[in-house]
Amino acid sequence: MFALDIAAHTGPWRSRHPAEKAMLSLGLLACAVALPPWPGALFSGGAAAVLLVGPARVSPAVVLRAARVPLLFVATSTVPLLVTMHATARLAVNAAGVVPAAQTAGRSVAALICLLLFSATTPLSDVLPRLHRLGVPPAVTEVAALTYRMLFLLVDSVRAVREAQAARLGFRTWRTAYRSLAGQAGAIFVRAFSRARRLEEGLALRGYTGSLAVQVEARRVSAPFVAATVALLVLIVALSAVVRWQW
Amino acid sequence: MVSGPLLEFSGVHFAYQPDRPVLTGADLRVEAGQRLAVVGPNGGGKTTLFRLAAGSLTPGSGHVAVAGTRVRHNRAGLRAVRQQVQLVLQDPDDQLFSASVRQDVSFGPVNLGLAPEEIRRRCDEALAALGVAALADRPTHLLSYGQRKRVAIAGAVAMRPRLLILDEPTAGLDPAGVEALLQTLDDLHAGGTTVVLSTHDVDLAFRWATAVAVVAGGGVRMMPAAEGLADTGLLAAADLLPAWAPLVHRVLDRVPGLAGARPGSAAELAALLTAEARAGS
Repeated sequence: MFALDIAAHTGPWRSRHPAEKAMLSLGLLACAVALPPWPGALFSGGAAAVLLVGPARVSPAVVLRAARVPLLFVATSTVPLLVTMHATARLAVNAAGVVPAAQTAGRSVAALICLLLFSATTPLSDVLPRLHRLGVPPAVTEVAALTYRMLFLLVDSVRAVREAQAARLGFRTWRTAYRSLAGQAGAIFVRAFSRARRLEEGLALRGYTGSLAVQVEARRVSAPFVAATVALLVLIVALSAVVRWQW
Repeated sequence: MVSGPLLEFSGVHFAYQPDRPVLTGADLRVEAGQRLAVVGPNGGGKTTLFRLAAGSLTPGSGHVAVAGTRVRHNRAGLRAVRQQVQLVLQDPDDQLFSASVRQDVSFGPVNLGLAPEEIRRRCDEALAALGVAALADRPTHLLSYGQRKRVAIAGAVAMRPRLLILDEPTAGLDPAGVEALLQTLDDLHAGGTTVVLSTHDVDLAFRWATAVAVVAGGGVRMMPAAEGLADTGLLAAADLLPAWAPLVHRVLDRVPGLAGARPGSAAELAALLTAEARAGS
């Protein structure tokens, strides 16, 4: 998550309007979901992958690291399609399930890459304040933004407490590890409450009256980028239709 | 224009727990244009003093006045105080709530209800004043501690307060960071902001402040920095050691040829002694 976050903040698409990137990523996602897995999902996912490591310059290692856990879910979800259980309670490979499993996995992976294209190029702090224009209540976006910021502090606290415990051999055995983890949870809980109280005071000092509204930097939507996005989506749909028809 | 002190404490009592008072009849006067260093032991009441000044705490008795007006702890009263007084807390993470530096700095001006263009101008000026303009588009969680501290101060400066109070602003900074921060505070002071800071570093207080307030034993004693930071009895009562410079100055005043010399740093003292030795040989 942190690697994705850093990529989103430091990548060449950082200054692009989030709507442009949402249109591209969600457009590709729609193609991956709506078009036939072969070749629609392949083209959509492939295009997203090329854009991700090409123009958006996100490191393949970062993409792979971010995709690890979702890929594990995809892999485990295809298992029931690939195996069958006979009446004798014996497991066997289900030949008829290979194609549906491949289609499901292909579509899921393509959709995942499309989502990564958005999350690896668009910082959350660019997206959340703009969501109220889409009708999302400010209270929801403000709490989400605050949670996002506090998450990093919480991780820092967890890391610091864990290091302090480890330095005093807190994880030497299973027994000490359980005890350390319990202590860690208690310490973090207290810290989180204390932090929340101090943060409330810090905000009050700057005139907080119940709203966490901030100024969002104005960004222009690039017409060439939007046109290129539309052209790419049309191309994927057309190519999918042609390949499907000829297959 | 309001005459009189910018900030005034009159007989302020405050206790977090009834049987353990922190301030017992504290008096303090901060004049406009002053550079005040507040020193004292841990738990002596420096932060409490600041939180009272900013309206975060309500005195048990006595009163706090900002620009001649008693602080009222209702919404309108606190709003009025915070337009004039800004407190920067010791830990920058207690103030930085946004994941974007620019958005965080804009929070105060947005709360003042300013026009978008004015908000942008204030943010740009505050970020430039603190030397963090290049970090405007960086996420706060990727900044170093010193950078976060500067951004937190920028958030307060963007409110354009008449009185800027900083709770141990140099804590956790490396020497270069301390020097850079002091230079920034000098610039803000030259721009018309009255600056108050707390510190345990009496040498830094001597070098930077025009006046010093020693907070200890529930009371506050204010005096010129040169006098207060050389008062070994007063400082010992506050668990502090005297600043080295006034002690050295006193010794120099007894040395023929060096009387009146006022070196402000070890390097200046070394240069002075070297020059004197050469002149004597």
